[in-house]
Amino acid sequence: MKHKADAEAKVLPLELVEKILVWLPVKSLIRSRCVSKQWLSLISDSRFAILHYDTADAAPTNKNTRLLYLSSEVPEARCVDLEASIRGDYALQLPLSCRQFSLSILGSCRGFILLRIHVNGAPLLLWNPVTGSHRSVPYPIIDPVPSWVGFFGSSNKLWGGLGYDESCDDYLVVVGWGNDQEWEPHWEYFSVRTNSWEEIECGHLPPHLVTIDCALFCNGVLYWLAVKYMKVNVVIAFDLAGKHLSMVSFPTSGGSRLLKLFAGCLGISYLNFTEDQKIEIWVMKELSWTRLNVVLPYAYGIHPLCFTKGELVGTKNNELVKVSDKGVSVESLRISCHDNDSKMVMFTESLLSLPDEFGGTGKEQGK
Amino acid sequence: MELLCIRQWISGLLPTWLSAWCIKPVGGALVRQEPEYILLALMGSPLKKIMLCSSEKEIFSVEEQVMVQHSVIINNMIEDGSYNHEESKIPLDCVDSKTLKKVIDYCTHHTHHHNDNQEDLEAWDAQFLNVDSNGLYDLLMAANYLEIRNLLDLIYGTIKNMIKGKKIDEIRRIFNIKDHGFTPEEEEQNRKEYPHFY
Repeated sequence: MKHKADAEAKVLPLELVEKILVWLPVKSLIRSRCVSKQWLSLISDSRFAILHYDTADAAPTNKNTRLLYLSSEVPEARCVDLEASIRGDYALQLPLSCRQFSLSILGSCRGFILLRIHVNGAPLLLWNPVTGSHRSVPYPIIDPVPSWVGFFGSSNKLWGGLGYDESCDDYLVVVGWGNDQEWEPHWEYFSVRTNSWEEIECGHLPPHLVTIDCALFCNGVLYWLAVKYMKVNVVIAFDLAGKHLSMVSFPTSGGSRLLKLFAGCLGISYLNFTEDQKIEIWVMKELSWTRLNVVLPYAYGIHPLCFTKGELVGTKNNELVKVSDKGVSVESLRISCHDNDSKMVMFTESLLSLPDEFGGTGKEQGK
Repeated sequence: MELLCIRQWISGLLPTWLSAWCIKPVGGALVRQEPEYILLALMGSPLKKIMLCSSEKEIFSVEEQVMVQHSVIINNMIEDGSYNHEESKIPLDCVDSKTLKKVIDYCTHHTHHHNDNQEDLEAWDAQFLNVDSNGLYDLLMAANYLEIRNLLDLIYGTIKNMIKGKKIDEIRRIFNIKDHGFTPEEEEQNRKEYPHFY
């Protein structure tokens, strides 16, 4: 590219602007859409969204990862950047159609959140909090219809998860329901591309299995923490490419607690009652478990959420706390949310859009 | 003795497993380097120079190793033999003299000082990029054309930090965007929807 006199202010070609924008955090990209029409069309392009997401994901820690929780005081979702100061939380608008209802989060994947609306007949919702776009996913039709459908009572559990199948660029919504006393669990998955449900074979799993947490998506597999016979904790895994359910062994037996994603790998936090009541963190790499060389003194009542840069972030009553590895509280933030209700999830901000059933990458489908 | 003959003579003497151990940085990545070049450098042979020609037809002489380590384009030109040391120069019509001199400065410093500690290198880089935005863009386009990975990453990082958290008008100024392309209604709409960006 030839340039004329130096006095003329130079404008970068768009291909170089793209190479710069690809490194920006999502928040800065939203702002950058207002800079010029060219930048708006560049950033809104789904090809750019995919390039931006892949670039951020290739880094050792994805800088766009956030904690999202549903506020119990006002009908909004709030976002916290756990790597930075956790005091800097900000609000995100919920989709209009579900603002007045009680919601829970079933899972998240690549910037999308799977929401469950606690109203009879309401569908599931796939939502991108950053772009605001959402799509409803009606529950599968089951025949014969069990008597409890529509009544999500305390002993009847519904669980789910959201994952991404890289082999066909498809998002899968997995839903399961059952009762740990009587009925056999039933599992199904929904493909966004084919817009249809398929049953998942689960007869090989032990009976009376009920999951107690929302799913974690990691490396092409969805994981749930589940309870067997009301006592023993197990981990159920659903491989998205093979559409296959299996059980994953725990590293050791004993008082396990929560299943959370730690720095891109599957992690489990253990409450080790035998040794001074410490919280241990085990990480699964390549199908084998290793204990992280960090042992945190048991700070009473903290539910671990994530472990970043040597600091543990967790919830304690109504607070989000960041604790150093010595057990000293570094920061805390009052939040109006209890993790036990599936109202909190780790997610990665992105500008991605859902593929539509006709094979293209989707446009906005608001309601 | 012609360089090619020396090379062949030396490579005949060396065991083949040695080439597995010889790696060098090129354009920020590590590639296998023929052991004979490394031996020649170790033997203290006069450092080969190459000629780079700017868009203003000014010739710059620079150590071949320096440019080959940093620029993928120049490395490829020399490896595939399209560059003849005796007579030709590499024409760089996209890069003016001022920018080319700076690029050569960067590559030379990083080659000769690559063992310096991180802080000193970063301080030198910061000083190096202390230019006006026109100069910065010229550097970016030159680094992009020559495919100099570490200079590119440095400039991307700098520009990214320059725009983080800035207001829209400031970003437009930084990027010399005179005409944003929005209709007055669209601009008005944006300002209403995101007042804190402006």
